Amino acid sequence: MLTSPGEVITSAMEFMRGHGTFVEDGSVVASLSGTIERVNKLVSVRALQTRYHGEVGDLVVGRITEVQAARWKVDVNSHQDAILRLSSVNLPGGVQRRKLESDELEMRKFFEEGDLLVAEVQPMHGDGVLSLHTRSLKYGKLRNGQLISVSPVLIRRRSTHFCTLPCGVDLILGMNGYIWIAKHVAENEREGEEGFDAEAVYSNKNDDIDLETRAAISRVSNLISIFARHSVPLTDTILAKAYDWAVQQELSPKDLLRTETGDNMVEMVTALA
Amino acid sequence: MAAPLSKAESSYLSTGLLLSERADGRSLLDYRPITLATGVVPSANGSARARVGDTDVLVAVKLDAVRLDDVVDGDDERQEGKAQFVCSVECSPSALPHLPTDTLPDLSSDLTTLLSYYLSLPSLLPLRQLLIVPRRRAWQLSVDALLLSYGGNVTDVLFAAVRAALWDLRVPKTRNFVYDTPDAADSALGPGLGGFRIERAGVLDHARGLRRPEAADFELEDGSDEGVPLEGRELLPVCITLNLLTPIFYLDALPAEEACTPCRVILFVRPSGALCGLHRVGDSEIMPAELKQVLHEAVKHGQELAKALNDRLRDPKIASLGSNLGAFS
Repeated sequence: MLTSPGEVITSAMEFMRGHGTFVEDGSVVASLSGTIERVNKLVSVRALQTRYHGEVGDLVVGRITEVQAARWKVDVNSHQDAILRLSSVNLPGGVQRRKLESDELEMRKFFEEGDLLVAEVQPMHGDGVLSLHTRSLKYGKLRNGQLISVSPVLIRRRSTHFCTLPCGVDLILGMNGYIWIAKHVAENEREGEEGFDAEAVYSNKNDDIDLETRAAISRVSNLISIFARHSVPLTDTILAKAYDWAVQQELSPKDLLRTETGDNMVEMVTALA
Repeated sequence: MAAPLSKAESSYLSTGLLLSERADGRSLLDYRPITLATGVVPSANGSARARVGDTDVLVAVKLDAVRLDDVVDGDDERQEGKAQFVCSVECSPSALPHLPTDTLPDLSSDLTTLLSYYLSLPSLLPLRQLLIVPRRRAWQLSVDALLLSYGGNVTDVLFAAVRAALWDLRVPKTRNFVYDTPDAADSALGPGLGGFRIERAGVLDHARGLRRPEAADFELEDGSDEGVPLEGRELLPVCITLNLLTPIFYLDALPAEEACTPCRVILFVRPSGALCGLHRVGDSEIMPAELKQVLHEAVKHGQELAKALNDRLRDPKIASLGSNLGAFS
């Protein structure tokens, strides 16, 4: 349910006020525009325009901002930078390997400032700082593509945030609104399938990407920014539909930059859904 | 200016650029649509807002009547030979959230320097029109720009907005008058007054010391809220930034593209095609031969941009921020 600032939500006698609300004349009043959430007796309003609020188990895409002692600081579009501990990443030589002092000295070999990674949110600290882990072969450093950032509210929680579009593009929809669009890598070609290959996992080198794939990546990226402008929640199905529509209309990625084309596209695709 | 990129990202982008396939599908010399609105600040004499992608710049120009003090006789030319202006560019911290707050003033001062260079280009501001009372009073321009949000290519957008604000500027009509003295009364309307209309208004003794009767002060003409547009506003230069990633160059960079381009050349081009300013940003070197070819191309695109901007500004439909300007289609 949506509410706007100043709107009376409920009586303060029966309910407690949570975030985004205040009490006035015996009623709980919204101080934000957003959706009303209720947990037992606690009523809170979650803002529509907001930074990312982490929840345990979320998949996020982040960017390293700082290398510190035995941990990295990661920008995840939240109020504070998240923390990735050296002990929460896969180190070369197998998952069970102990963390060594030498690892601490070569942390930049794994991740350095500016690097993008996909990770999962772990139980957070008392002060609200998120901590991440990449202890799965699905997670880790990102390459072969480009990043686009949208509002986190447009990403819904789903069973999987790794999608492959029929056009040969892999998508990682981070819950924090960062979306990674990359060249499709076939399941059996993924790094680390046969043993853990640290060289490949922490590589900074891109594969060769042909022009067709590049065009597909730009097209998907432009479609995402159009949907974001129209506040349409992003899913792989709607993107695949939009992509088909764009190909049918013989639109080059560049044509999608025009406002009218974008408006048309949203109208057509949301009508289909 | 942009946030740091990972090595994989910057290599993806630069390889794409070398293959002429950009992150958003544009070709190298394509511009994003430019949105322009004029008259957006009611209290300014001229104002404009320009948007390209996420880059949003607001510019307001205000005119102040200032005294041309310390006038030395015979030194008219020096005194009146330069237009008076003050300018500043502010960068909103919310536009560049990833920048540490102490580097914002550096960026602001860099852009202010560039703006002051632009405004002091010879024959950019019409001196004659900005002079109110010869040797005494002139209009001083205060040009203030605010970067509201950042999405790459700040300089081009900034100067498109400055240009549109100067286009929108209306110089108030004024009328000069002289304090008439009995012995000077006959020659009051004599030659050498720079074509300003002089009226007689009362008799005051302190004007007696003047060697020849001159306009002493001015008043605003009644019933003219509108004012006159700036002379030569169609000839104002445009700014065009070339991003050099040897051996290619491209226009209108996205923030991520800016981050992986070592060198930029900022050019000021008049609509006639004359190049009137060149700044290099970045630390990589440019070969003279390369520069020559690049400049030739840039001047061509600068002319196109100037033509597109002029066409749009002449068209009254420009008044709304919604209108699109495809500079290069």
